[in-house]
Amino acid sequence: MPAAAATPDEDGGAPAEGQGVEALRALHRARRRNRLAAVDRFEALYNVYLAGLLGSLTVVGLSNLAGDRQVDAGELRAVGQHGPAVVGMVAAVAVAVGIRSGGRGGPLALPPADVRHVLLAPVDRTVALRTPALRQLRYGLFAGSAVGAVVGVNTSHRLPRPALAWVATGAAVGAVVAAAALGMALVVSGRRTGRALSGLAALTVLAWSGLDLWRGSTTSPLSFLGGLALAPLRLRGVDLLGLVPLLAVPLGLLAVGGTSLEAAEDRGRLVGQLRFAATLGDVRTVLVLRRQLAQEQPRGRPWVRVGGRLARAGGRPAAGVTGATGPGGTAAPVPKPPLRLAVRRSLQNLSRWPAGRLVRLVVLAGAAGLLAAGAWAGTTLLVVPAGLCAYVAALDAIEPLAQQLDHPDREEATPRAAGALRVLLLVVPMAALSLLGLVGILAAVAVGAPVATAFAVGLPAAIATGVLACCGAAVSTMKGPDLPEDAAMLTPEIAGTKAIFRMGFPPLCAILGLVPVLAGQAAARRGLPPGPVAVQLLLPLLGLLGALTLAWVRFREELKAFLAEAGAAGGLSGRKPPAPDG
Amino acid sequence: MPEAVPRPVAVETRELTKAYGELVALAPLTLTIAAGERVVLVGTNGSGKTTLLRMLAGLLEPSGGEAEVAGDPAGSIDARAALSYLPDDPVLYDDLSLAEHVEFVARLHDTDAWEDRSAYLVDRLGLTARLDDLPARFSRGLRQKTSLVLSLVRPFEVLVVDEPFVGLDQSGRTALLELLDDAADSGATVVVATHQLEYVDRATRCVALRDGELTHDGPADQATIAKLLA
Repeated sequence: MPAAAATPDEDGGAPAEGQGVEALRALHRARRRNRLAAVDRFEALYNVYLAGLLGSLTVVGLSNLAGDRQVDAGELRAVGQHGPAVVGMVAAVAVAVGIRSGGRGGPLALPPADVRHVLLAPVDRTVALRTPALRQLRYGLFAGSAVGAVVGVNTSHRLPRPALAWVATGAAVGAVVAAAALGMALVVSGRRTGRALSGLAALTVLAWSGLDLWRGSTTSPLSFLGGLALAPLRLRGVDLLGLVPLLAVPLGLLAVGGTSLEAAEDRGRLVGQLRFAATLGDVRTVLVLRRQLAQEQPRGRPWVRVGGRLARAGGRPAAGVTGATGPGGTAAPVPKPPLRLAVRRSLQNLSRWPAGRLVRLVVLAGAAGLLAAGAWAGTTLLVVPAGLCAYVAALDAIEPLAQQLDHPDREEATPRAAGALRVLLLVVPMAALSLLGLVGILAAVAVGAPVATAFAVGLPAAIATGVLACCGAAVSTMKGPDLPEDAAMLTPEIAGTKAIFRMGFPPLCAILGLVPVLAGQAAARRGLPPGPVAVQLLLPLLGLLGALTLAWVRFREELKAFLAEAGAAGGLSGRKPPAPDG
Repeated sequence: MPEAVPRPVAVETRELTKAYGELVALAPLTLTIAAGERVVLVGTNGSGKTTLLRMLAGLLEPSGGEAEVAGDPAGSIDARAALSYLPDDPVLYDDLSLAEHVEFVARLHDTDAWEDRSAYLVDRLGLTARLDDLPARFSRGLRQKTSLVLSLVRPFEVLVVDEPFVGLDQSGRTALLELLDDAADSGATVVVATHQLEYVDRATRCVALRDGELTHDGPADQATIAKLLA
């Protein structure tokens, strides 16, 4: 029987759209049916229970982030004057992120099989992509309104008017922000605006809202949306202009068919891997995939060249063309890892950071500084997001160590103690992150912190946070993902505790780096100079937590080998212990 | 003597280019393939074969120039109806059985009598016993065979195949060659990118690429191709 080759006359035109649409519906039905058939009902119920419990605890915890002190009349006036622009700026950041995502083919993350079979079939891509786009919008609306409602609860603690009004307004504005961000992403992606133009559009949105924030004016649609967020305080008809960005949603749904297949295929593949890595808690893989998703590559030409120059041409070397030696030729004592080599290797990495990563770290440092200033002003819990900002920055900063761990064969082939080299590779990232703390200090000064206090407390906090955040990031990267087989031999209690430690300890390190801020604040309240108190805390923080963590980094392999040997001797494990380094 | 009637053009590229920054994956390529031709596309790794095929399928956007399939711009709805692409990496749904895959793709392309055709293809490739299995549990070779069924069950004028022999056992290779012959005998244009020389004897034309540049466009014979691949 011949294959299904068709002559131009028979099949020259595309099939009727209805057929394709009906086939897509049948596909969705079949996939849903198969997925449901594979679901274990008890496991699903348990997951729902866990998600509900954790979700409720998170919402309750976040809802009490702000203190209960009501604002006074002067502060209320300030909220009325600057509030719309502040909320508008937050919305602008969300919309700018959406626009950037659209410039890279987002926000849709289609399964690769959909790209190959559905989008290469002769069906209208607008019709085919509308369903996933609506699904993404639905999810965005839910997430946006949930975040908005939590912000509403917190607002009701500080501002007058019933909590319900703030929650409802927060939820509505959160939903509008999410819809606008996703809608803009769909428009940009569907129109294939490109990275440069979409970056420019995102900057324009940010600049317009930034101008409103600086001048205390309301001219951007997103600032009007910020005005709507204050509706429980005052309702102005003109603030309805804040709903204009919602137009992006229908426009996006109309344009979605133009989404680039090239970007959709890459994005679908990466997002699938990213979700899998996230479920395993594999922070390093998530980071690497996120960089690929953002098309973030090391610079081909470094900002500054650090060594690495080789002679272009030369005669045959007298000592031999290769490093081959006779018997006993490599029997020299194992060399100690030189600090200079580690510093040079780290600086080479730093010198190839793309501009986007540099900007991200500066923004994270600034955000950490602002949040620390908020903690100083009384909302103590803001040290948590501040520490998380430092932790995320540290995950980027310790790239030289992460590269070393990504290539274990290279490490194993080197006659050096792996642990010692790993510790040395953290020196430059720790110094760089501590220096970046200056950006945080300047951000705190920009929002009104006294310069002398900001530097007196900020410098020890920056050093502690820089060092400890790198320690935490190193632990997270070295421990790797939480594999099910690791926990197979453990009781649920021990496995659970281990998992919490694995996930919680690394960011906790970074958060503890901000303890000098809280100690300084407590001292200032008692009328003592905050700077010396903050400095006094440096020694125990770095001496205990930092040194212990670095010792773990240094001796981890030896410790593992020792434990495996002890286990084998006790008959607990039949596996041969790995040879210690060096 | 009567003048020969020129055959319609199945694939045409004009200065088709693909570059990733400074890296040129495919230098400007102008190529015309007439309907019914059997073309073997050869080249070393990184020569631009897959890039060219993916641009014809509409999966990659050209950096410059243009490509047409059956007279329509590559990637347009009519070009998608005309061209069937068998990629080198089989991409399948994890949650659809082989039978559900075949039904879905056939219906998506509004295929007549797809049940008979799919039964033949599935049987010819030895997949009948696996019809209700999920491809997630298939080996590389079985996934390749499934992908082959999906690309052949739908109507097409142009069949574009990328490294189809990878992962196939001997019976699969034989079946694939016969199916490619069937497609060509039915009037379809067949373009096969491969490192293997198995298809060469069946091809009427050989196009060779090296480092993104066209290095040969002429008759297909084993000696020439072996030299081109050296």
